[in-house]
Amino acid sequence: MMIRRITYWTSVSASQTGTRESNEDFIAIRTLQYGIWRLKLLIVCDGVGGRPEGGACAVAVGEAVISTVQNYLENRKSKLTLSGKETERIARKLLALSINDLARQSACTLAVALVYPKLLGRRWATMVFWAGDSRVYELQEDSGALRLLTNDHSDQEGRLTSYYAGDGRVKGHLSWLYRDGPIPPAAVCVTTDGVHDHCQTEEIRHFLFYCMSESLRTNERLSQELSEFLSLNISDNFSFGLYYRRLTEPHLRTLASDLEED
Amino acid sequence: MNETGFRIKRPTAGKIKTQADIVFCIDATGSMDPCIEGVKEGIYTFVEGLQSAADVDYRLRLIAYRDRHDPSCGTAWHINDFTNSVEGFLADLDGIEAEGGGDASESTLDALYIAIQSDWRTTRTHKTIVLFTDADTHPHLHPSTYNLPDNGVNRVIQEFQTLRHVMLFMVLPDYPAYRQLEQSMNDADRKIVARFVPRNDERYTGLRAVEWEPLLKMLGQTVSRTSTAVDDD
Repeated sequence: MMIRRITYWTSVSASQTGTRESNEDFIAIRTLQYGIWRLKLLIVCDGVGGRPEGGACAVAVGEAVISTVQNYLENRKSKLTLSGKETERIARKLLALSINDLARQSACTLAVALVYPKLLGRRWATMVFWAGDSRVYELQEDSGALRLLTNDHSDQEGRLTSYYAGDGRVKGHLSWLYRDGPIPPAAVCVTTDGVHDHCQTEEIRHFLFYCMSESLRTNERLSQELSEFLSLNISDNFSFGLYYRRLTEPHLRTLASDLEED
Repeated sequence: MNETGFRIKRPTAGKIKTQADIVFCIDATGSMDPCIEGVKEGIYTFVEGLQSAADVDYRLRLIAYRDRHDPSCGTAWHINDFTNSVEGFLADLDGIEAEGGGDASESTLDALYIAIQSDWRTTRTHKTIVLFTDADTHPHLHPSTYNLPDNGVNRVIQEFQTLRHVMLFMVLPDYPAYRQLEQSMNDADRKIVARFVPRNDERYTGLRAVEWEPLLKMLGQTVSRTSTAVDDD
């Protein structure tokens, strides 16, 4: 009889005001149940400054996206895990969210990742949806490379070319992707520009491995570590959500062999 | 530490080099005579601070303005292009003398309007305007600066709104137009430091002794994306 190895995961998130007076980010990591299956949802929304109610818009869009995905999962007829074809169906539901009582001029970005096992864990899949410049990264389990799964919707001057408006509709366009493979990623993380615009991609990878080697389990600890990590460049709200596998020491050593050990 | 004892050294993100274009708008009318040297010394100090901050890639521009609205003010303005030559900038600054400008108000709005139209670098650049004056502004832009009916302070405010990553650092007397400017920058979530000095301050202490720390701190911060390029329906 084949014995399947149990995979242990940890999720942590942190969001800080930085040098701003208020925090206009929304971040959440939720476990969603559908039938006998579960998936992990990581989401971040970044309220656009200079417009009214940026923070409220981020919260409303974030909660509405979670609710929309949850509703989709509850109402689907298949008893199997989510298929790749359903990515577009979910995206279409996300194009117009149900939001009331917000200034239409308010705006925020969105980056959301759904991570889940397929075929009784024989494969792993990730669905990603985004509008704006918030990001989803995946730390690859076989190579230890950090892969950016989103591409920023912004022009040369850094102005957003896509975003959610306060009426729950996407201005510009919503992008999505689906990927699956025989092994789960080592980690998936979501970031706002307060993180990824203030450090190099290689530094984010280093930070992920640091969190994993520390077996970081609390949001408070992540918040503290994130502050220290970005300390030289903090100038905005910054939010970071991490979902990672607890790897064995030899595995972690192999993947992070280029990083200095303490 | 994890259960196995393997521990990676704590990472710290390296300081990101920021980019800044800085325009100095200096009131160079006769009333500034008692303090113009003090203002220049303050700018020298600031530029020295910039030079020692290796993580700022900067360009400097000088606009020494007077009174366009007063026909008797014959002295020309001194308007430079951006330069990354500190020596050239300081030499130009050194050559500025306070003269001209008869009545109480000067063409400060015009100077700001010209500063806003500067040839800014577009990519991730702190667009910074530093303003020094001891006088109120004429309420309207001179026709040679802007020749349409909407030529008041709101025109300048709207021009500010079109600039991304803009900062305004100003040391000036407390007049309503300047307060309106400050309020509009705050409302639009733009960075502003306004140091209001008493009107008719004969000792000019506020203009002579400027605290540059807030501006240097802002310039050292990386630029964030906070705007949209897609119009609302």
